[in-house]
This record gives sequence, structure tokens and C-alpha cells, in this order.
Amino acid sequence: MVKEVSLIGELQSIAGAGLAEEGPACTAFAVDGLTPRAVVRPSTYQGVAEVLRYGNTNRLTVISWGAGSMMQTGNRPSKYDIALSVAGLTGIVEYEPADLTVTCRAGEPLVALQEQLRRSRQMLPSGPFASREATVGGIVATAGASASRHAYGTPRDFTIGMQVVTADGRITRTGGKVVKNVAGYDLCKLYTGSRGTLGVIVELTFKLAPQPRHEQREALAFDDAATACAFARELERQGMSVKAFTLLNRAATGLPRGGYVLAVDLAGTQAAVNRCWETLSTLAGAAQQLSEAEAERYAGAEAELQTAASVTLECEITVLPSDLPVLIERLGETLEPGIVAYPTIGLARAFWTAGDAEAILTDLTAAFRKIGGSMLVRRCPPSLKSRIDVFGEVPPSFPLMQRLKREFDPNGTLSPGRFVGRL
Amino acid sequence: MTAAKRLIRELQSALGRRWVLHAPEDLLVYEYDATIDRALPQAVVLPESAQQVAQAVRIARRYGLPVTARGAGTGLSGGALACEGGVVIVMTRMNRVIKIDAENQLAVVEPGVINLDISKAAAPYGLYYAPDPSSQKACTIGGNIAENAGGPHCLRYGTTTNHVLALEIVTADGEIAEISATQAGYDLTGVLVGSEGTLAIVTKATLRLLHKPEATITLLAIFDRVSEASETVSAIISAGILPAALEMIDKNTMDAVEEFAHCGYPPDAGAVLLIEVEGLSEEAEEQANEVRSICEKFGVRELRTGTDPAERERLWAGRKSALGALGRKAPSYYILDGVVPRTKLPSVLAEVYQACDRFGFAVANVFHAGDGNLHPNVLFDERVPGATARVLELGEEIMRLCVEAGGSISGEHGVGFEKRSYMSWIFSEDDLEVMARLKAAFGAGDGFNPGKVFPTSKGCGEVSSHMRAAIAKAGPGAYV
Amino acid sequence: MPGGPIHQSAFGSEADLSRCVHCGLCLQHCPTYLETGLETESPRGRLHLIRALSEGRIDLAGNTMGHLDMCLQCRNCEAVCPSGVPYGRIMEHARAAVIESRRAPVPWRLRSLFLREVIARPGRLRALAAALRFYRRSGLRALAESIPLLRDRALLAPSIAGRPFTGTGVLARPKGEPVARVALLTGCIMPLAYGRVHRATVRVLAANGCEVIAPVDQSCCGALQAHNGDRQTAQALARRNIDAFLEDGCDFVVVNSAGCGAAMKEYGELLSQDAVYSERARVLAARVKDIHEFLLELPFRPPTGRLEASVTFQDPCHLAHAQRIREAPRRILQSIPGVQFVEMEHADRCCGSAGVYSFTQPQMSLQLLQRRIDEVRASGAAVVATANPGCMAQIEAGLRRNRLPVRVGHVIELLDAAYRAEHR
Repeated sequence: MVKEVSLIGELQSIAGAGLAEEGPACTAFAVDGLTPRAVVRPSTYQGVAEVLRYGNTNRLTVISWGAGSMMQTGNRPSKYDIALSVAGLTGIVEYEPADLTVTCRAGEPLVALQEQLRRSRQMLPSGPFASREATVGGIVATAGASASRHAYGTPRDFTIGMQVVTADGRITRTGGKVVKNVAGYDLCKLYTGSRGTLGVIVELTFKLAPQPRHEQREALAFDDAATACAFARELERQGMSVKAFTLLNRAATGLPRGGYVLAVDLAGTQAAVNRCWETLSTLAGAAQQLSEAEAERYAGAEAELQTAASVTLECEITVLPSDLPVLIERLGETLEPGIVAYPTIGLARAFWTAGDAEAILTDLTAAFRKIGGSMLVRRCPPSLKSRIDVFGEVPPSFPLMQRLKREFDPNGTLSPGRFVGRL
Repeated sequence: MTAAKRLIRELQSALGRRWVLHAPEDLLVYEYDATIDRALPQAVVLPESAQQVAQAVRIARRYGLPVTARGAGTGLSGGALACEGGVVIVMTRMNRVIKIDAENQLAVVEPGVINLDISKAAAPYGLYYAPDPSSQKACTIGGNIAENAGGPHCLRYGTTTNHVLALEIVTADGEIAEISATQAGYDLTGVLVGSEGTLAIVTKATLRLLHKPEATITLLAIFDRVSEASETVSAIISAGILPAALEMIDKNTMDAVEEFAHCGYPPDAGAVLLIEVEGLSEEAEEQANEVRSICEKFGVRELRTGTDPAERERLWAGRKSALGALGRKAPSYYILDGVVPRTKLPSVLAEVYQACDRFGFAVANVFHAGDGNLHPNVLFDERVPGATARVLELGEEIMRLCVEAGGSISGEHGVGFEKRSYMSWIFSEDDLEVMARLKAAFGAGDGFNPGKVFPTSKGCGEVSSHMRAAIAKAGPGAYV
Repeated sequence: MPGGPIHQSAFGSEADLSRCVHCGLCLQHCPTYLETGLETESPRGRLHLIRALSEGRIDLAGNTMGHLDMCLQCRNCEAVCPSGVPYGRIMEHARAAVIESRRAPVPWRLRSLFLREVIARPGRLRALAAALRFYRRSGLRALAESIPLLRDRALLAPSIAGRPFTGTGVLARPKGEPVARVALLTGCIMPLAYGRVHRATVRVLAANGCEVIAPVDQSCCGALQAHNGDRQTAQALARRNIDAFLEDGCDFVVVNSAGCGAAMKEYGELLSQDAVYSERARVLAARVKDIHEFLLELPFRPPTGRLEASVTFQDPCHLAHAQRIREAPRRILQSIPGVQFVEMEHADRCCGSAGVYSFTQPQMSLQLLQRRIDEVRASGAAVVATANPGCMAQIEAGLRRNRLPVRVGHVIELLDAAYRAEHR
């Protein structure tokens, strides 16, 4: 009982009275049914460091939060004492447009950052995310990728520097503020996608991209996935200025009958976009080119699925691009989920609103073994999480990952049990 | 039998007699790379498979000897030098392109494959491997991965790390492991790239290939002053144009190049920019026009354009022959590698010239201006007593200028041995401690390429005493 | 310890050696490095060893001499070196230092002896050629090459066939005023092994309006001796040639053998320390022209006779790398009506002939030869053109070994055939 009091008291003395809470405020920070004993929202890096140092010393576990929009992905935490929100760490630290880089705090919402960058006709090439609240820290910590990964890569490709607070409360830097830098180990890569299990990201430096001069969205209807994928890859082979390819199945588009829609986001100079449009129209052949209004309608399809409460199971599967049509076909056989796929990347996301999640997963895992690749269960009923590893089978290099976790977080302070193999 | 003999015997039975070198004259040629440092190994082995690499690592470990992997030895940071002796594993025999998967735009290669040979193998499919370090005709992909090599076209396409998808590695305990940037869990591939051979030895790599662009336009812009050229660089980036490459050649370099390559650079010009734009023909043309008008705004005195391969090659000739031409200007040159934010280029360049003047050395700058990646080449004669030490001192000062401007101590050559003492200028003890944790997780200790990246007490050959003196003078953390 | 002390500085001048900044850009151009992957068999490695010898860090014991001997002296590295390291010169000096140290191994000494006492002596060389001609004609060669154990050794013996070239004095004189008066280097092996090439050369020069002479007192050019460390003999031969050619007062000395041309162009360097000859050596060297470059510098008359064949060109190392002549022979071949010119891969990589290398390093020589033959095969050409007797003999041997129905000819022979076809 004495300890309970000292936890919140301690956190309040670290972060300030109003920035640490217990009780009802904690329910909003529940993860997979586990509610933390306290939530703390430090307003400084130092505050984050002190919280972690305190937790680490006292064997209290800490789960770091951004906006929380990606928190449903992960294994069930093995223990959860403190929710550490960095959502208060907002703002741009340094932005010089001519350097084409920006440094901002981890809690900065992506939407707000893009707003700032747009004024200089620049952007963080991360693509849009379903949640308007998503923070840049969260996007990097979860290595969140959108369809524009086709042209710009994933956060690992454009994150060039970080400040990270370690489990034992040290504020550390890795990378830098220049676009090209090979001094020291590239720990940015390690923290990107580590989902808060190795440290808490508090500041990020990104390599930016110029805003495309002109953008145009086209959509085409195809009878089968293989033809649609081949179409996308042919456009790529011909060097068309495409920012993103998004393939949607019937269930994802709400089309009345079977078939697929391929959305193509053209981006570049006006002349280049025009030329792409011509090529696309010529190549389309039998495929039906949809109207502009229809094309726009599919722009939000993925976000809708990602935020739909009716979705009970959501999987993200990565295979070789050449295997994607087979995968999509196979996915369709499991109660026809909504499918959103990136043909040139080899990534497919499937959303089920009905059916027994466990049975679907068992079926998929078996099919999946034949195709190869990796599967992440992004959303599933919490009850299922005690029986499956949402990250799929542990990779062959898992022993190395275990050693990493031990070195970076020997006390298991940071999001214990949440990551692959329940690290 | 002595331990040294037993070591050789064991290595021979694992790799075959022919591929284990131990005679003094045979070891001697593995004491150098493309830097000015030297370090002799105790044995050199040339494996032909990952299994043989693993065996060699296990044997070396049993004898308590460090292992250093080596490709073609073209590195510019001493990365392939066995600073603390031990066994050097040379990858030149593991040089097969195992697979080109055109459909998925992948290449699977062994570490000893020459960078340019990957693009050659991919060319029939209209694909190429983007990172193009200047030594791409000679350097190996294994070395590129270890150092996270760059090159002129990194500006648009990123460095090696953005193109490595998966690796097969041999760990310090002699195990073969597969890691991939797309598999679940930590991005071990990402940390392996650029780890300078201190974490593991790469025995196979899966690389991303790109489609060749439809059109490439090369512009050569001649300016009266370096300042105009460097302001043009910033203006191009600010205008929302990301060229494929954006290189600068200064007056001293032009003078040297002109003598041998006859590029037609005016004798009184101050700097040349090489700007390459790529994409669909419409896009390339539009960007080229915009670049031209920016150049004109900053007072360009002459603009040349190349669109076909032969014309473009002529425009690149001066840039590509620059180092060689400098080699003929002075018996030795010392290539520096530092990065600054693009907007700091004009001021830092001016300071670099001043520093070189103060030290009394000629300097030629030929570098990746678009990334802010400076390469001052200090010309000197190593036979003059004390010259090498003075050049190193100057190099240190130039690195400080970069760090003070908010930059870094290496953009693409690596920290290696020479710059490890500068690490503390940009990283705190805590930062370095976290990096050490990564090393510990790989169990590498000092087993792989010791004496690199991190400041330690021991060092390579003859230069080390000078370096220690330099560190003592600057004081640790002087620029933190 | 046998022999006298080694003068360390003899291994190479500090100024030459210090040019190498070990950037490694030579590696991918070195045939022996590409075969072995060993730094010891690379230009950079050998330069480092020579430097270590000159600094006394190592001596000639162990493998050092083997590494120096493995070098083909093809000078491909020199052609691509960004720092301009004079590799050929350094290697010649180093080998000379080994020979002068009197610690050279027996095969080195035998080689020197052979080059000095047979190759450089026309009478003895003719006797050897007669023996080799008999060897070929009698069927002994066919026999030797049919015995697996002997085949590869027997294969690389030079093929002596056809009529030797014996012309001296004025060989051709055009009807009108000659555009140039040129002297032909007849050389040592060329007139015996490939007399037909000399005859073709004389006709081609005449067809392009030249008066052609062959000074009677000329000798072997000395290239092989210099490459193998016998600079004394090479210098003696050079002096003889300088006397012979300057005596005749020709405008140019035309050479159709790449190795000889390269050597003669470097007479100035070879005799730079010779008080009497240094100036005359420079004068002569400036007059030396490779036949291909010479023809194209004239108003070259393209042939109108046809030659229906697909032809590839294998660059002789001392043409492409030492003399840096690559375009001229190709342009000549492409000027012949009916010739389909195809590039073979790695056309400028050594075939393994390299003077006497095919005898001193038969295994490496054969390995390199096989690569080139595979590339010839892949090119689909029916004729391999080249421009050096050693290369011709080597490639002929490789084609026999592979039973490949491809013919070998000197570029000038093909040009000659096209000119001759004009009259048919």
C-alpha cells in the first residue's frame, strides 16, 4: 500500500503534479486488457529519463505511448506498471528548408508536422496514416509504412538521427542532422520498428522530400489480382512517376461483384504526370479505367478499414512481389476479407469482420509456409493473444534479438513481452 | 610445435594450404589499404564459402586472435587493416553473383563481388545497383556494406544501407545466421550495414536493384567563385529539385584535371558544378531547365549539357579523373571526408581553405555538394619529415570545422582507425556506451576488427603515436 | 649466401614507387589477380613488395621472386592507374636488380641466357626455328599434342610455318613521289614465325604510297631481354638499332609487332643514362610508329576489296596498354568491306603469351589463354585479329587446344587481303 502511494508521488515529483495520474485516467492507456497503475506525461526529455530510471531501478515496467493509434498491435504485455506518454513532447526543434531535413520531438503529430513542411513545399515522405493523431515517434517506433513506400521507402530510409532514452534513463543520441553520415553504429535502424522495447524515442531528425509538383490519382478495375499486379509492375518497369500503387479487392471497395481495383498515384511534374497517364491508358487494354470521382472514393478505403471497429482480425503479410497474386488469392479463400495490397512491395493487409480468428490464422499459417515471407497480426481478439505470437514464427536470428534485448533492457523494463517471441 | 604453427596448420586443414598465407612477404601485402596506415596480420586466409569463414573465425577465436574481414582493400578509413594483428579473412574468392531476380528486383551476391559487376549482371534486365562509390570498379560489396558506402548518386537514391535487404553473416562465435530487413523483430540488417566489420562478417547479401531511368541529363555549370557555386547548390535543393547527383569541383582540382584530361575548364574559373537530373524524359528536361535558370540567377558563366551517354561521360570525365590528376600533382594526398548541413557549405568551405593556407598545404576540393559531403584532398609529400603529422593535424582541424557546423566526421568513408578519437566530439559517453551494448549483443568483443570506430588505447602502426598526441591535445569531449 | 650483396636502391627509384597510393583501382585490370584473388599477384602487391625490397624490409628469400615472376608485364595496370605509376619501368628495374644481385634462381638465369644467346642472335635463332619447323612438319607436334600428359606443355611451343621473311634494303618503292620513307623493323621471331605478316606489311605500306626499306644492320629490339631483367643486353641491342635506323635516314620506323613497338618507343628511357646514346635514342624513339597508328596518320586508303568474315580483335597488351593504341586497329578492320566487326569480352586482357611467360608460367598462361578462347567463342567471330607474334601464336595454340575452327590473323594481313581482293 505504501508503495502505491510512492509510485504516483514519485512520478508527480518527476513530471509535475498535473502530468502524472492514477485511477480512471489509466483506463485510456490499457493494453490488451491490462491497465497500468499510473500514467505519466513528461514535458521534457529529462522527465522521460527520470521516469525510466525510476521504473528501471524499482523493477516497474513501462510502456511508452504516442497517440496510441497503433497500440493494439503487439503481444500481451507480461507486466504493465506505468504508461509513459510522449504525446506532450511536441514541436519542431530545427527546420531549415534548404537543408531538406527537420528535427522534431517524438510526440509531434504527423499531420501537424506535414502542415509546417508544406509551407516550404516539402514533406516527410511517410505517406498518410489512418489516424490523424498518429505521432512521428509512434510511426517510427512501429516502422509504419504506407503505400508511398513504393517511391520513398519506410521510416528506416528517412530517419537519420534520434534522441533515445535508454531503459536505465540515459538520454542518448544516434545518427545526426546531416543526410549522409556513417559515424558510429546506425542505431536509428535498431530503434525503428522496435516498438519501444529497446528505448523511448524522444526526438527525431528526418530526411525530407520535395512535394511533388503535381499529383493525380487514377484507378482501374481488373478481373484478377495477377493481371492487376502485372500491370503495376509494368508501369514501374517503364519508369513511370508513380508515388504509390494500391490494390483493393471487392470487399475492400464495396463493389457489388468480384474484381479488383488498382489505384495509381501519379506524382511529378505536370508533363511527367500527363505522360504517365497516357502510358497507363494505353497499357490498360481490357481493364476498365474508372472515373476521377470513383478513384477518389478509393483513396480512403484503407484508412476506413484500419479504423473500422467492426474488424475483428487484421493481418499484414509481406512476401516477394511475384508471390503476391497467389497470396491474395489464398487470402480470398478465408471468408473473403477486405484486402489492401501494395503490388510492387509485396505487402498485403487483410481485414476480417467475421469468422473465427483462430481458425483463419491456423489456416493461413499453413498456407503461408508454402509461400514464405512474414506475417504480423495487427489486430485480433485479446483472448487470442494468450495463444499466438502476433509477430508469427520467430525469425532464425531470434537468439541475437534476445541478446540485444538483454543488453539494452536487462531488467525487462520496456514493454516486456510485447515484441516478437514475447521479448 | 608453437601455437603460431598450430594455428597455420589448423587453418590449412580447414581452407586448404594454398589459401592460407603466412610467409612474411605474403602477409606484407595485406598490411595496407587505400589509407596511409599500416598493420600486419599474423595469417591471411581466402575462404570460398560461409562454412570456411565460420571455421576460420572459430579457429582464430580458439587462439584468442582477432579477425578482420577484407574485400579489395580500397577503403579510405583503414577498415580492412588488422590493427591488432590476428587473422585477415579476404573475400576476393567469394565473388559470385548468385542470382538476379529481375521480377522482384533483387540480386543475391557473395561479399567479394565488385560493386560495378552487380550492375553489369543486372543490365540485361534493365536494372542496376544504385550506390556508386568512386572506386566502384574495384571495391567489393562486402566492403561497401561494412562502411555503408555512398557515391555521387546517393543524393537521390540513398547510400548502401537503403539498398541492402538481407544478409547472411558469420557471428563471432563462428555461427552462420540469416538476417533480413523485412523479417519480424529488430532490424539487424540495418545495424550491420556501416558497422565497419566489428559486429559480424557478411558472407552473402540480398540487394535491391532499380530500373534504369528513361532519361538522364547532365549539366556542367562553370562559376567564377566557389561561393556562387555553393549558393546555387542550396538554391536547387530549396527549389524542390532533388537531382540524382550534385557534385562540385574547385579551382585547384580544375587546374590539376585540365592538365591531364583537357576538359576545357577556363583557367580563371572558380568552381564547377556537375548536376545530373533523371526520370521520364519530360521530367528530366523540365528539371534541367529549372536548374539552368537557377544557375543563371547565381551568375553562371558557362553551361554545358549532355544527354547521350558519350556526352555525359565527357562532362563527368573531369570529376572522375580528379583524384588521379591530383595524384600527379603531388606525391601524396590525404582524402578527408566530412559532412555539413547543405546550407553551411559556403562558410565551411571558406574555413577549410583558410585552415589549409595556415598549414601551408595545397588543398583541392572535389565532393558531393548536394549532400554537404566534403572531400578536401590535402596535397603533400610524405617524404618531407614531419609532413604526414602536419597533414593529420590539419585533417583534425577540418573535422572540427564540420562538427562545429552541425555536421559529422564521416559521410561515407567510415570512422575506422583514423577518426575514432573524434567520435567523442559528436557522441557522449552514454551514446558510445549504448553502441557498445550493440557490440556486446553480437558477442563480438574485440574479436572482429578491433581498434576501429571506438576510441581505445591501442592503435595501428606508425601513425598511432601521433594520433594519441592529437587526442591528448584536444582533450576528450572538447566539442561535445 | 651465394652472389654479392643487393643494392637496395636498385629495386626501383623512390620517386617512381612513392607514386602508388594503393588505391586499388588497378586490381580489376590485373589478369593474375583476377585469376587468384591474391594481393601478392596484383600490381599493388608487387609494387609494395618491390618497395619493401628497396627498403630492406624483406629480401629475395621465400616467395618474393615467385610473385615478381608471376607478373605478365602486360601493363594493363599502368594504363588505368590514376596516379600514373610507371609500373612497367619499375618491374623491369626490379627484375634487373634481381639478376644483378646474382641471387636469381636458376630458371631466371637460364631464361636470361636464352634471350641473350639465342633470341638476340639471328644465326642461332634461325637454327632453332628450323628445328621447330621440322617439329611441326614431321608430325611430331601433332603427336605430342595428342598425348594428354604432354599436350599442354607442347601446345605453347611457337608454331613455325610458312616461308621466312628475309628481305633487306629497299623493299618497296611507289611509282610517284612517296608520301613517306619508312623503315621496317623486321625483328627476331617475326620474320621466322610470321614472314607472311612482314610481306603483307610491305604491300600495305606500298599501297598507301610509302617507300619501305629494311636496314640490314638492325637487330632484335631488346624488349624480351629488358622485361626479364637483362637491361645490358637490351641496351646493346637498342644501340645497334639506333645506329642502323638513324643511318638510313628514314622518316619513320614502322613496327608491326606491338611488343617491339612499345620497347622501341621507350629507347629514350632505356638509354637515358648513356652518355653517347641518350640523345640519339630519344630521336629514334620519336620516329617509331606502330603500323596501325601510322596508317591512320597518313591519308589512309580504305580498301575496296571485300572480305566476308566476322572478325574480333584481341588487343595486344603492349599495343593497348603500353602504347595506348586501341582505336586504330579497330578502325582499320572496320574499314574493310564485308567485315563484320564484333567485340569480344575483355578484348584488352592478356592472353597469357607475354613474351616468354608461356614457358616460365605455363599454368597461369594456359588459364588466361582459356579465358580468352572462351570469350572468342562467345563472340561468334570466325577470325581473331591481333597485332603481335606472341599473341598470334598463343591464340592459335588455344584454338587448337579447343578444336575451335577460328582463324588467327594480323590486322595488317586482313587489310592486305582486302587490297589484294581489289584486283580480282
